[in-house]
Amino acid sequence: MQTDEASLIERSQRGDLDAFNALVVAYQGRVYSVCLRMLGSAQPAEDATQETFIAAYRAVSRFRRGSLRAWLFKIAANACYDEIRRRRSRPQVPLDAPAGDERPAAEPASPDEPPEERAMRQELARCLEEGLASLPADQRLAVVLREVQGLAYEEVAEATGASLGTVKSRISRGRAALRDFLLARGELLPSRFRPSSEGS
Amino acid sequence: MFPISTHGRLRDQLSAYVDGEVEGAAAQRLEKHLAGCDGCRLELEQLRATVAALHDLPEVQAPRSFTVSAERAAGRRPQTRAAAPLALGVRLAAAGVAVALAAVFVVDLGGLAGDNESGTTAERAASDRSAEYGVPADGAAETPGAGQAPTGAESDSGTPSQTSEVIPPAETGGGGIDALAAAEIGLGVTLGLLVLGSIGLAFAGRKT
Repeated sequence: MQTDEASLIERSQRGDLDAFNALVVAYQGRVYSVCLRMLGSAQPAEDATQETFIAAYRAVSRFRRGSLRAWLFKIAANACYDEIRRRRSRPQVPLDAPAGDERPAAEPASPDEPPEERAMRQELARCLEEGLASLPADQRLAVVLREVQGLAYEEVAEATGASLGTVKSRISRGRAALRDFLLARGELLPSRFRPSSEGS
Repeated sequence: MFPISTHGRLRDQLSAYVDGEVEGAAAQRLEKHLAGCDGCRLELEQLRATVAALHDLPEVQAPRSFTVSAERAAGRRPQTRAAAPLALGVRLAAAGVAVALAAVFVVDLGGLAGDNESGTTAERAASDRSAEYGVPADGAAETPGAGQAPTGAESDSGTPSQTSEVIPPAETGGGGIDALAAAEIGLGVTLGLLVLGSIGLAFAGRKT
């Protein structure tokens, strides 16, 4: 897999568009996912994703050893920040907040999952997406890259252009804010989220 | 109980501890604190639950393919399939018409330059008329303008004077000039139609 990716990168750097598009197919879901959670609306997320891959193709010859996904996420983050800046110049859209209500759809239900649990899980996911959308953009990006995309702290630092200490701080504050967000809507969540359940 | 400063400092490490980023002596200090601090244990549990819930978020599928076309890779904006070749055709046709017009213009100028050798339009008319009525042409050429006043009989008869006479194209030129004028008009009309057609096609292409 890694060798395949390295080979595809090498061919892309020689101008092989088919090889590059194989990388696009491998990463487009993850890049779109980050853009959607950063921007909150499908169309801007699609535009940012397409911009990301076009910019990546033009810059791939300058890509050196490292994490391709972190490099792609960095380009995607820049595209998202550009869109957020454009929104700032249009005051009718709330600052930093996603423009629409097109959050990721819930996963299809497993046939073995009891309906109550499924409803609970979907409600929790909906609540989490709302909580993510309420975070400042820098924290949202760090949390999404770390928790949803599974990047290591170093990769998040690479993708966001921030220092490791700043990344740790953003993730810590983002998690704390999300926890508070969930606790404020505790009636929707599993009992383990409620402070009283700990019993101490 | 723990000093507030120690409690706050250790509490700030909980997020990194969840990720296994606190190690060695620092981890031991934190674990010792957790063993005796209900608030930090609760917070750790809540953070772990939050992280677990985030990991469980549904995967997002790409709504379409984001592969890069050769056109976009080359830095060109995609064009609609119908409009591109048509627009090219219109451009080529317009260029052809422009070249033809330029050629006609040059030929026309060449003709005028030739005419200038025999003087002004009025002089040419006089020359033509001299030839027609058997009067020597050199007199007209030597005395241009109002000095060549018409006779009273001619004036009385209502015949326009030679100097003020407007010479219709049929009188001044031959069949070659007519053909050029017709060609110019035809090409002008064609060019106009092409421009109007291309504007209409551009609008139609944008709507689709």
